Amino acid sequence: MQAIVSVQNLTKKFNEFIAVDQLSFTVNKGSIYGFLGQNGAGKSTTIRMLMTLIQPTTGTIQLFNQQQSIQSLQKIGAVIERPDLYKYLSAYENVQLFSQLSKYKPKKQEIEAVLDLVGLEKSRFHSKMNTFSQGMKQRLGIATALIHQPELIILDEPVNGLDPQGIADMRHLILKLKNELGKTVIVSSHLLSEMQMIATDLLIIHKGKKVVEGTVAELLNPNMVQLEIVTAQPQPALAQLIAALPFETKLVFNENNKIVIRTQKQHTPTLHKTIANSVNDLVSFKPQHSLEDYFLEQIQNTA
Amino acid sequence: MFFKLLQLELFKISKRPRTYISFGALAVLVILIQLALKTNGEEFVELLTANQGETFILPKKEIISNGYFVCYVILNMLLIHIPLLVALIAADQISGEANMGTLRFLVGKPISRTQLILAKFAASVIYIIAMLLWLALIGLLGSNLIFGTNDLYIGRQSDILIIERIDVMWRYVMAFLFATLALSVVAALALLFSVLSENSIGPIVATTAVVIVCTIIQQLSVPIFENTITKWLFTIHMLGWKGFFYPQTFDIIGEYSGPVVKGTIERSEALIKSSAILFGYIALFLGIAVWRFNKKDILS
Repeated sequence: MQAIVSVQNLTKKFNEFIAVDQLSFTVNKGSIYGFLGQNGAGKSTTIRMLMTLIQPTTGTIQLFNQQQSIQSLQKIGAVIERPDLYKYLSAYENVQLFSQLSKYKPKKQEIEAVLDLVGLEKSRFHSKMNTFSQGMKQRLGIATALIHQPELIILDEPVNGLDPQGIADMRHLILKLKNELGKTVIVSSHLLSEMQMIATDLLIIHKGKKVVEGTVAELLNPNMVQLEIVTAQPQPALAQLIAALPFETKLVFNENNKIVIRTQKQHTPTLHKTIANSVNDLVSFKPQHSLEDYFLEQIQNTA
Repeated sequence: MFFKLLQLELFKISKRPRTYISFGALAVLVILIQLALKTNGEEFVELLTANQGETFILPKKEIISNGYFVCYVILNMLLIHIPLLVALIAADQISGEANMGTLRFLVGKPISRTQLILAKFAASVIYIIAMLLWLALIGLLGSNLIFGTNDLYIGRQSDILIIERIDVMWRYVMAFLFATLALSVVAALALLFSVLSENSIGPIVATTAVVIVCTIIQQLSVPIFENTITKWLFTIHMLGWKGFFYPQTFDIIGEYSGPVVKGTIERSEALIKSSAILFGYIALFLGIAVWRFNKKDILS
């Protein structure tokens, strides 16, 4: 897997308020990377740091295997929060203007093709943006993000304000970007159900901190079981578990310094026994069933 | 990329209805002044030359039957107010984008923030040039067509300077060029306020307030200001354009000036100094704007 976004220990403070706290994650090429968190979790701040809009307090960002720079933005198309484009310009003019800002000179057919791709009616290509509905604005925003043929698309809350049909259309469009155009997409949302349907990878953040990162297949696999173990001494407990477990598992510390263990469901009885027998100072362990359960539980724990 | 940015900025300015308010306002004001001078010009000249009228017998009809004179009156009346029209556009350049929500899309593109600020400033200067060309078209050429041309009578304190009509046009060209420089200071100041704000009204009001406060200070002829800040106020140097209409005179008869020397200006060194100070202000305001914008977190 080729990492095209690599973030290490990213922190952003606004005076005393910590919006993003020691966040690390990696986005691989060809994935739909879901960025999940409640409102105010730090998703938009992180995306703004990726786009050089906000300067990190500490931490590093690598884009396309290079240190983040203005030049790397040429390979990114983004719609950050609301698709606020130039209201006094037409859809066609907005796409043309933003493509030129990305140092790309599209032909007329390319502009029309991208407007067509996002599902904007042909009769509205030359209408002023201030006559557009929220859904049309969202489509136009994505068109401006796509016109310069970027490798990475970042969509910040793309379904906000859309009706059910608009949400479904947006879902299909994002899947099309990955499956047919081979783009890597970062999508931020607070809607778990939407993320489950489209994302290949997920990062859950809460109060600026990473809760969990992994593939959706891992996180939601019905044949997998995930447990959170609370002990008085997590470090030695982790070593004890690694030594004692007789089958393949994934063991990590979460942001609350609790051990999260994932393994095949069939190993559950053995797993329970091993935890009970080998972990000293065990306080509790509990299963996490679905992404939503997991998400809500993590949020409650960190609240 | 700078010229591409400049082109895009000009495209955006040209597409905004607000841009044309200034041109419309100028046209209305100029036409009103022309109408007033066409109908009551002689009375106006009498009022204007009250100081000199006691000493000289002035050919009021000849003075007013002159597009050059009418344009001089227009410039005297309007060049104090044009900064407000400049602020309408320049003060909106960054804060307007922030207010509209487009700033995050703009800064998220592969362009340097310094280039963006400079392109926006250059676009404001081009807007100023367009506005002054418009003013020249309706105020100078329009007045010449309506009133005809003649030698230009300029009153200065108790003197009357008579500039031959053949010696006038270059002075207007230079005055308009100087006005471009002077108004560019206002544009740079407005842009600086624009960087510091996220709504359009604040920077427009702040720019206007600074221009008004500086103008009031320079008009308060008291030593506390005159000996300290007045000579450094940009607003006082913005009036330097008038210097092009004060030519050298041949000889001094008593306390009065003699005939003017064609193709000269009386205090060229003062004009150079004013220009240097105005350039200094532009560099200062733009420098702070660039520095601040490069450090700014785009949260809008």
